[in-house]
Amino acid sequence: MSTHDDAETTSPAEDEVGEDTERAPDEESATDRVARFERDALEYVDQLYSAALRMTRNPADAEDLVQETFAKAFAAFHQYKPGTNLKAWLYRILTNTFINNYRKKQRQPQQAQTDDIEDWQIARAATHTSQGLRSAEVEALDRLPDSDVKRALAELPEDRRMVVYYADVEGFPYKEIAEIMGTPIGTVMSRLHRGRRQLRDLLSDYAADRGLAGARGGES
Amino acid sequence: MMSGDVTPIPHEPAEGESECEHALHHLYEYLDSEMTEADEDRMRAHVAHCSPCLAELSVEELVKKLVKRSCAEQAPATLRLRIHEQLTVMRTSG
Repeated sequence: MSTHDDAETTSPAEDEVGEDTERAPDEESATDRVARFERDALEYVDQLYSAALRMTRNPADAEDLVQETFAKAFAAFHQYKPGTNLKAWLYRILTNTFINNYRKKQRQPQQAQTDDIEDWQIARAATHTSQGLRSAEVEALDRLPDSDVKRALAELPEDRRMVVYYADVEGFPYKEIAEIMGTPIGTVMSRLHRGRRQLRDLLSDYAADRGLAGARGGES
Repeated sequence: MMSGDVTPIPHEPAEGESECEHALHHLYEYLDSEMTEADEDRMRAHVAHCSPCLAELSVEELVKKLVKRSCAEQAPATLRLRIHEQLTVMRTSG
């Protein structure tokens, strides 16, 4: 299922779009290629736009990011190997384009993130409380509007936000997220743990603000 | 599908780690289907008799579900048009 087994042999330029040794058929005409691209890749416009909106946090930048992603993907489409995971390939381009071109614009202070594994494991062990409090928390969180969930996601540092998004919305396996983001799997897992923990805390806060009972399981 | 690439999960709790701690450490791998079938069975067996771990799992499941539910957007029609126009330009110029 991996599309990037030979990633270490690629040049930096190719790395952005992924590299495959097996190319699309040479005899394919330019017109056919455009048709194939429009048929196969444009199916993912809504999904990429949803992801871009979470990344950039505003519709105008999200539209620009998606348009740029499709332009790059089209220019590199001869490198895409038919039958491999097109969605993951497009996400990789989206992610790299965001990191290279949009992150600078965001003016979000770069958190000094030590994404090591140990302290989320410690934090996790401390969350083991009674079932009654947890079911109250479930009920409270389930009543939150979607807008609260989006607001909470927007507050996460972007590396964590992207990993949570890829795992929860797209359901990508850790290995694929690691390839999309160009990080080791351990970093993906660490960001996922930190991101989800932070998200859950934020959502509990919002639920408490809305007066939903049981929002702060263990505290109220 | 990815049986050769599953993140390795230690089958037994680490030295000094309780069964609950072990289960909680690996909750996300379970939730994200990153476990071998054998380890999933072990996790299911644990939460079947441990209600606090089951409760913890249910909160995490919900948060994952909330994120998925909240993030389905539709791209504006103008964006689709912009992309189509750009591809047309790229084809004729390239």
